[in-house]
Amino acid sequence: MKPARQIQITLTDVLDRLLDKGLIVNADIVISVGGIPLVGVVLRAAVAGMETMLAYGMMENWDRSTRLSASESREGKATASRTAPSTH
Amino acid sequence: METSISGKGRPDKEASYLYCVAESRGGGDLGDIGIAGSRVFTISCMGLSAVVQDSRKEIPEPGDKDGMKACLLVHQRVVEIARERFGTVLPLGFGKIIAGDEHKKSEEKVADWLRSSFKDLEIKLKKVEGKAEYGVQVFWDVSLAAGRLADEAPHIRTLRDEIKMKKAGTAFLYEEKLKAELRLCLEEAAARHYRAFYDKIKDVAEDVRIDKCHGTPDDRKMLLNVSCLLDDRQAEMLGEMLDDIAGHEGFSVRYTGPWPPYSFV
Repeated sequence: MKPARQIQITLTDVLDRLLDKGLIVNADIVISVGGIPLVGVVLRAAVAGMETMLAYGMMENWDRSTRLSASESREGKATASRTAPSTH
Repeated sequence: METSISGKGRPDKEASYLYCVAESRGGGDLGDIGIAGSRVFTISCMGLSAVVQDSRKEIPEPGDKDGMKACLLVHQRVVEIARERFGTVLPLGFGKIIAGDEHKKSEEKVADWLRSSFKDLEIKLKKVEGKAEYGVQVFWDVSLAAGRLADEAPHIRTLRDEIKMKKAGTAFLYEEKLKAELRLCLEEAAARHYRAFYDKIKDVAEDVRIDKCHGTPDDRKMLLNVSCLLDDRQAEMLGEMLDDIAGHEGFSVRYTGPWPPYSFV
């Protein structure tokens, strides 16, 4: 499988990355335009035509808790690997 | 706390809108490719360059959906162009601005920021050097899986057969029980698949970030949404592995990239 190049990506792909992620600048010198959370809400609503009721409407809690536990285990690992170089 | 500018959506004072940071002694001008057709250029300090534009030009209000969409796409395109020119870049999210004040112009403040964050930026550049971000989304056809379960799981099959022999009122209660059982089985299966796919992806990738799952327009459920940091060889390996996942009945996969490493900076 080859990754879909830029031409096939969707606005949701772009939103996912540009609104919540990216390099952090010290908060005392950077300002953000137009209230980014608001931009996110508006634009997510615009692409939410895709959002439908989940079949069987059941996996949301599961989804949230699984992602949480997975990210916890990842963070645990990240802490471990962060402490490793200091022993050098 | 970051200060937020609302209203007209732009600072009154002169300010620099940031796109990304690259290891470069200055590539000068990237052309009039910025938001509102602004010139995009670099501000350099200690071998690092920030790719910026002057943000005095109007940036649309949040309510202006089309304007905002266009700006997001411009942001993404500028970072892509910078990546083509400079190689490894550290992308910023949308809408990050450094404003000037009476003592210092914004461009000087950007240079100050590069200087003061030099070590941190160097470490991050090293981490993503020669690698790119790839998005992986795995979808699961829940209806298909539910149908299979109903046929295959013995206790569900028994329950279904019992319903046929019950009177209407009791049958209703049995139906509810059947739904609950089915739901439980599906959730267990989902957790199992999620863990298996996540572990496989993690084995191939340099690093993995878990993203929020979205709804889909059809009966498919987004089971897993992750961003992976990969070099070219790993990207190929992951592609092969994803072919394998997509080969399983009821599963489909979306694989996008290469992206600038938004999730790993």
